[in-house]
Amino acid sequence: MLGRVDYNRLLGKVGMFVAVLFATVFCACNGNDMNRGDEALRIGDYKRAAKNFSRVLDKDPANRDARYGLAIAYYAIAEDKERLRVSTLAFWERTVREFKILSVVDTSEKSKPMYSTSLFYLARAMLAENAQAKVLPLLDQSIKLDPENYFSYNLKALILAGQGNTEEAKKIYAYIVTREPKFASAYVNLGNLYWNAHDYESAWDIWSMGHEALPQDAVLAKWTRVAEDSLKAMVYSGKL
Amino acid sequence: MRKSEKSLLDSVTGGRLLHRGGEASIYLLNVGGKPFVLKWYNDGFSFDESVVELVCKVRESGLYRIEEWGKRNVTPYLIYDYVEGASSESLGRLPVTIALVALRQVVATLDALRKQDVSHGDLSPANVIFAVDENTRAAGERAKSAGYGLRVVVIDCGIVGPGALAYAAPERFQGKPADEKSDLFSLGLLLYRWIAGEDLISADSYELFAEQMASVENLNISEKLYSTGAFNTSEGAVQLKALEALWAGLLRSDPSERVEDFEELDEILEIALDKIAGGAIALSTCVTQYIQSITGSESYRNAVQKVPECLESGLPFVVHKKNNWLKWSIWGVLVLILALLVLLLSGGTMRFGIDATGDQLLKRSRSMESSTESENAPVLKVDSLLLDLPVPAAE
Repeated sequence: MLGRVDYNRLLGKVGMFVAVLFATVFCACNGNDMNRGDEALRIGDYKRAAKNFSRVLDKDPANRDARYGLAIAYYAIAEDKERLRVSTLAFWERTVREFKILSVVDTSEKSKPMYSTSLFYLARAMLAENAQAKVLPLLDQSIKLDPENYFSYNLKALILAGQGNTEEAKKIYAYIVTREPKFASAYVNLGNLYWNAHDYESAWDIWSMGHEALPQDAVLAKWTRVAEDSLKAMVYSGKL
Repeated sequence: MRKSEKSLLDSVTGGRLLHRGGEASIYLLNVGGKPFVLKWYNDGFSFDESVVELVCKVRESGLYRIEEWGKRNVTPYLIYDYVEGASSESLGRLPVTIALVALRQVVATLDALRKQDVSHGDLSPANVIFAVDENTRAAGERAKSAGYGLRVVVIDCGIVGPGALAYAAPERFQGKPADEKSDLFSLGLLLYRWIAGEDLISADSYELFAEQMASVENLNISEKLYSTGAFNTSEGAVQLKALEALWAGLLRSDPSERVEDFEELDEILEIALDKIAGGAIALSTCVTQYIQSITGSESYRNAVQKVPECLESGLPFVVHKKNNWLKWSIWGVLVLILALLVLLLSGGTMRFGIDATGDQLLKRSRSMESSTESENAPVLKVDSLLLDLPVPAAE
């Protein structure tokens, strides 16, 4: 009798455990789509990844991981298009929209750098479609999301210089090369500003500084040499 | 089962094995400083639960008091109050007067049981304990008048089976249940054992016991007692003569030839005592002297057990804490497995997976590439520089 009671108790506990296990597996069934999405993402099958993450979001729209996975997939698809040198505006718009939704459900800082880069790409794609496009707010937002996104700083400085605000542009370039001495484009663009203002000495200073920091960079090597030659010619001609 | 929420076995603070028998093992327990006896039945043995329930209703000083019974880990057990005294089995040969006084107390107890429709069924020297009656007022009038300070306690009622074979009535060997008549037969054999110091019937097998019990009236009991040498005096002769009525009324193979009931037996015992005791004062003195002699004896002191302060190792009824540890360990492992499953399946690792994939993509995307070579002299037209802008993606 007592043995039967013990057996029944044991059976009850095991049954309860199995039920909890089943419920857990059932509740976690979304994890299968998540797994497939992540797997596809890692091997570069971005369309399939987007499909799987979308399936998870159909059931659970606030699923942070699925939302982030979908945004990454869109980002990777847009970036692939970028390399083909075709219009990417629609792709970056889609990506930025996804990151914007993600920012509502994701309290972590993890996705911010990629969101910031997406905004840079969107601004760049908008300028490619229309050189007069107002993209500075996008770039400011990008910098705010990731203060270490020097690509956005660089594009912002380029636009400001184009608008005639060369002093502000110079400050930004100087800031970039101070924080990231390996950012070749900032040296090039800052040197350009001085060169176009006929300040060849300053242009040479910047380009040679960049060349010193990045000896392998062909553009910096070329323009350092050009500036050197120009300065020599000026000395010989008595202009300097 | 006792109608308490918690078993006494769960409150045991000390325990010691007293005796390991064929039917059960006997343990002395310490429960809150009070001694109890645990009868832990061996495989295949049990007690009659209906009898135990009825025994509990009998309040006699000559009857052991059952506190709890039931099963633990499928083993039947019974717990009763510890009686501080000595089993009559350990006392050797008793003076005839003392044997008769003790038997009268046993008869009184059995009579009280019979009123609850209970027969003992296993009367033997081991199941009768001689103790000092500390509080005769607590005893019944009958016991008080017959006891003279001696308290005789009967234990172990309700056995399933014939009981001790050397004390079982012939009909018990035929599978019949215990009744008043079979108890009367057992009392005759018990009285003989007390007086002679040895069993009347001894045999090597169940069948031989059954055979000898069936022809017990062929034995000349007075002659057997005389041959022990204890009855060679004129007083002994008187005693043998006084006992003859008892043998004739008890040791009969045919139940119908035995005395009618316990009351009749008590009357015969009273008559026998009158013949040999020499009056109430002499009887009282005799009993008092006997009590003094046994309480001062080595065997009695050894028989009175001290309450054990700690648990002996290997006690079968003790629930070891080790088992609890094992149980909790198993549950801990199961919960851990469940937690890991939840973590794995519900996206705990996905968070890491997605974040890692994102970080990897971003790192690849932002790797520094060489600035795009331009053949043209530097110009400041944004639209012409757009395609030459450094981009995060590195190829």
